[in-house]
Amino acid sequence: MRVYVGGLLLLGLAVVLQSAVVSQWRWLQGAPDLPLLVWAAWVTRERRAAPAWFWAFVVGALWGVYSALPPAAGLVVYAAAGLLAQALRRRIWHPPYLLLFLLVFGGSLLTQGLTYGLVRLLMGAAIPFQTALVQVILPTVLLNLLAALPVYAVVAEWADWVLPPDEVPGL
Amino acid sequence: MRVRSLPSWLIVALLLTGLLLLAWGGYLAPVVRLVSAPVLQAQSAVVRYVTAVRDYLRTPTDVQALRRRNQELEAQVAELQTQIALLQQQVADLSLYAALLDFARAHPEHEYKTAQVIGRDPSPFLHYIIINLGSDDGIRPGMPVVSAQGLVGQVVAVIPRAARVRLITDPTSRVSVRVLPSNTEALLVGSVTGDLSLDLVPLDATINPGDLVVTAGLGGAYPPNILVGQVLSTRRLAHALFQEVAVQPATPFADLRLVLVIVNFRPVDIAPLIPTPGATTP
Repeated sequence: MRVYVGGLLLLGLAVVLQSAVVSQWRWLQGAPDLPLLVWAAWVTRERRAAPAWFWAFVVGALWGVYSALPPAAGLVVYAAAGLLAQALRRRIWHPPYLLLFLLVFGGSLLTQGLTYGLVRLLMGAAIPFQTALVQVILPTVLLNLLAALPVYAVVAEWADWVLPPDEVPGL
Repeated sequence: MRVRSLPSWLIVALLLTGLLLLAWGGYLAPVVRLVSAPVLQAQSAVVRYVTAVRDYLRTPTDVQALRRRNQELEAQVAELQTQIALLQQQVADLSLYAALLDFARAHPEHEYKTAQVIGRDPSPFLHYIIINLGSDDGIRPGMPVVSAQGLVGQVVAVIPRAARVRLITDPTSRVSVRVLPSNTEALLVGSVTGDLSLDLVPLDATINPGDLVVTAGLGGAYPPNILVGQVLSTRRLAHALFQEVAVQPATPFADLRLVLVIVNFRPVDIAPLIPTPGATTP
């Protein structure tokens, strides 16, 4: 139970920080995606508590509250990242950093690409693909990769505090 | 007859008195100098050693007291620094409020409510902000939002204690505007990069860099004559139907902290008036 409360608090805080602060840290038009980074670090660290798609669902729902896109869009975007995480977690066990970076890289590309598609499809924004790629998607991916390790360090501390290793189910 | 001898104490007293008188008279100066030198040296040595011992014994107490005092002063400095930061923040807020008040005074035809920007859209593709006023404060969808400098956007969604505002820089934003002094009407369009441009500007329209762009009021979404920005550059392409006009927004969207919501403006929904293909008129 504690791990679910801890995960919800952590991911909720990440979404709030993203909206209040991190979304203004721009490079070109890209910004670090803190909810994705925290989610990736959390599912890399906590492999036994809940499947990755569960936490992806949580992030997607929280993200949808803050975004101007329809709430279901957040679920779709992060569900794709959740599927990626499920697939990667079956294949990569050690070292965790490889899984983390693959999740951040692939997840960033997936979420940003899907968001671009949904913004065009649902909101009718005429954004040229090249502009979106150069101005938003690639800068965001790079910023996410740069911030992945620091975020992982903080999340790992949080995970150890929320659920000490000797209390992890199955250990 | 036997002469009585003087008492010894009297002899000593007389002798001392004599010596004192001689000393006061300055006759014994060489002797005093000779005698006092070793005495003073000895006294100085005693005082030096006693002071050293006393300092040695008192030093730990002094260090502890100094450390305690240092901690008190450091805490005081930290508290004062916090107060300075808060005061600087209040000064900055005050100047913002003053600028908003100036804007409200310059446009007395509207009623305003001041709102704080508390969030932005988490997606970099969308240019939306979240403000701390909602339906409980009388905010309704469609209300225009301005800053001290000019137009910001429009309220698009409301919950009891917050509202979402679409900025004019959003890629989906369209604002009917007028360019002054030529009075050319055009459509202001946002973009994912935050750049503003004018659409539907005829090739023969006279527009120059520096011209002002204000809301036209057409379409009923925004009240007229709110400053939007200035023309940055124009370009005429031979094969194009319209000019390309870049606009520098008046509002600094990156530093947006406080905004005004125009609460007495009712947007007009003209969608039913727009003819759709296949529709028949009665």
